[in-house]
Amino acid sequence: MDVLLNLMSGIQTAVSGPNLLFILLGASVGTWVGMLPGIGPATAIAVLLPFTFSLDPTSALIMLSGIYFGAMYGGSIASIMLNIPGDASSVMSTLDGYPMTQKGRAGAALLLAATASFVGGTLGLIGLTLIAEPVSRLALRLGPSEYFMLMVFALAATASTVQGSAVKGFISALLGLAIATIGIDLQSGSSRFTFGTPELMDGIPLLVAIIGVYAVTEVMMTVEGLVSGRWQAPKAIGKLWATKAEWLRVRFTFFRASVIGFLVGLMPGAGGAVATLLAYSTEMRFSRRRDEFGKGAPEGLVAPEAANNASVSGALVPLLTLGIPGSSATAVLLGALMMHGIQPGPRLFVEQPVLTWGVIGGLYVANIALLVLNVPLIGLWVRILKVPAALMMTVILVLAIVGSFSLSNSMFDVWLMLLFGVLGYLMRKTGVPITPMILGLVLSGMIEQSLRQTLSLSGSDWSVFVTRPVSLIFLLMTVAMILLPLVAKPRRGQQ
Amino acid sequence: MKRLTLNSMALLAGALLAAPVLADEAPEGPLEIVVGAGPGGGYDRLARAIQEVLDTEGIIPNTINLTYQPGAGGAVAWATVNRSAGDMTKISIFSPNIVTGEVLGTDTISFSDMTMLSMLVFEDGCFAVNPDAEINSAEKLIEALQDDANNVRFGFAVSAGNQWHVAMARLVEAVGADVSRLRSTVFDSGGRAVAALLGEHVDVVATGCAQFAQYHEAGDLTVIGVSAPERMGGVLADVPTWQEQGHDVVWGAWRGILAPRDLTESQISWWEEKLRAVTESSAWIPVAEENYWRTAFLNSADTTEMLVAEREEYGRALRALGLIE
Repeated sequence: MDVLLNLMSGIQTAVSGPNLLFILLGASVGTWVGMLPGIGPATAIAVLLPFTFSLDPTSALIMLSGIYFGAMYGGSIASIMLNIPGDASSVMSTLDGYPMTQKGRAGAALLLAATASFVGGTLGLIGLTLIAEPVSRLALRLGPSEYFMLMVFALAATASTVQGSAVKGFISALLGLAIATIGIDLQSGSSRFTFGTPELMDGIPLLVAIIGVYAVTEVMMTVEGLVSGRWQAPKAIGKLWATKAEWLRVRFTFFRASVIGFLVGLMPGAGGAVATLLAYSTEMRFSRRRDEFGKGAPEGLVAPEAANNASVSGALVPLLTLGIPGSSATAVLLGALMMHGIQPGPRLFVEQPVLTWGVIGGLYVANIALLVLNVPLIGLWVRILKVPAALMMTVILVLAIVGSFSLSNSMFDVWLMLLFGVLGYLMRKTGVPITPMILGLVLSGMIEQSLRQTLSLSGSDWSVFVTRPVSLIFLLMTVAMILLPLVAKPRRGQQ
Repeated sequence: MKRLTLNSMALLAGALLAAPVLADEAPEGPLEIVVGAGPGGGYDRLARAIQEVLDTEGIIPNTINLTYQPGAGGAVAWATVNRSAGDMTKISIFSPNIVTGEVLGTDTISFSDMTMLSMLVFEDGCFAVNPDAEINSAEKLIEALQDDANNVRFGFAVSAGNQWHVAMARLVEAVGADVSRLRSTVFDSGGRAVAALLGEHVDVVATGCAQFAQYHEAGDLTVIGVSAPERMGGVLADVPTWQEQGHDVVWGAWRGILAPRDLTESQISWWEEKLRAVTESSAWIPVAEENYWRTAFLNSADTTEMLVAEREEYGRALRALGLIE
């Protein structure tokens, strides 16, 4: 059992000397930073990276792992308590997390999120430890055609996030797809809708849009409510802990979502947002209480939280075994490795066993540390709700402006972010849901580029989508997802 | 005799008076390198290397700060730097994007609008294939290309018409095949292109040699040719250049330093001297080796001249690829 021995020595590295302190420090700082609007794990790691330069590479990477998981949990707190996700992969947590807060279940939501993160993270890490090598080779077999079909499947799954009018959901998703066409086209090199503005060449920055439509829109809605006197403070905080009934409802969700998260994470580039979306829609399909989703269903919170953390371990598989980053956060980690003089690649495990196993051990410890650090703090986090709204909104607006400026040190992003805030406000006023737009924005680029990559590789032969088995499976799943509700509906009517 | 002395005194006085004018104008206060990509990227590694060498070798007394302004392959940062006309405290790193953006018409800013201080390093190109694939050697690649360039699936990152696209186009031309038939696919990062080659979704990938070194060493990929005038060192020492194999393909990436427009001659020569000192210092050599950089310092005038030539060449290559008219 070489693997177990390696893991044990890795955990030993992670808890020995100052390393344990670095994990705890990383996890706490990560949590705080991750709560800020627009700061997800990728940004948190990038921002805090320079502070690790004075450490030896193993300690630095271990601390960054702590920051990684910490920032994810911080993002969850902001999503659940304030309806302001830090990045695309915590968007799905707002759908049921925030309604739980509105119903006075903030404490329970935070506890469920922490537990889901822990379970998802740990199951993902077990996957990473045991099957990293063979699985990474298999994942490479999935090419642009499989990515395209997976993304189409995910796009179909965005329907599950829509409450009420399907037409408005459709408009929102299309808006996201349209906005994503701005920028230089990868395959031809020509610029689209950039009007000669260099800032628009790389497209609309996703985080700028997210900060705008969530943070600024929330501020505008609240201010309007305060001025008109219709604003109501969130309900008194109910029982702090989750009830037995709530635990029972989500007991299988933990595992289903973790598996989905890990598998999607394995595919380089698919990302946490896709993992959380697919876990959420799967949970909804299997649920007998489908109508409770979006209104504070605990499954709707646990699924994206577990999937998100499991996807991190999935994304680490191609990074550690092949040197290929699977997500934006692992891309920053890759940069961190290189800055510490380590060239990641297929020989990383062989040449740097102490480092790689130290990082994996560090992630296990960070996972536990987060649970231990954050569960006692839940009582503190829920007090965020007692901060007067006027003060809270001022702070959020300032953080939104600072956050969007700091993404690339440019005022252009700040104006763009405020513009998205106005767009989000108009959408909320007209009852057009925001989530499909953000998901459309996330998926659009990947859908278009993988389609065109596929066709250029196949010589414009469309049959590859059905002759390649995995691609065919995703295609059939998509068709099933679209058709099943249509077939199932009349039957329900007969009952 | 008397006259001579007077003459020499006049000369001396003139020299004394002229001395402060002749010495280069040094910047005061902290200097700033505006990095045109996020932390950990290619621009950042070079910026940090320069910062470190300037610092440890004591080449300048000023402190050097890095700020990040990612976007448009560096063009956002260049535009920012160029707004501070005449300010010698702000510099940025450029790459072939500074030429391709102009040729493709995506950049509104041209290198001729800014001050090109120096060229620093070349990042030579390597071509790799998958040892398990049908095309697993240079001979087989050339054979397939000569049969029909449309047989070969070529993958690269990160934008159409960049240095790796052109490097491949030159290989196709060199072996006498039709460039316009080349089946090229662009990936959004070098890592994704490598992953596509490992998974046999593409037949050949061209990118900076540093990216392939570990895969070549581990036997996961085979580097079959170097598009540089000489071989690489380290684990890639066994790979012949394309020229050695009879194909005249020398094409790669380069990186240099730019400053805002309207710098004086004396400000330019201050920077030239300091940047030359960086590339000639002993601290520089290991850093360059580690990153597979081939040091190639050029002064400001020579850099601008080189860029003009590159612009010409890229224009020709991108027309052959059908990317511009």
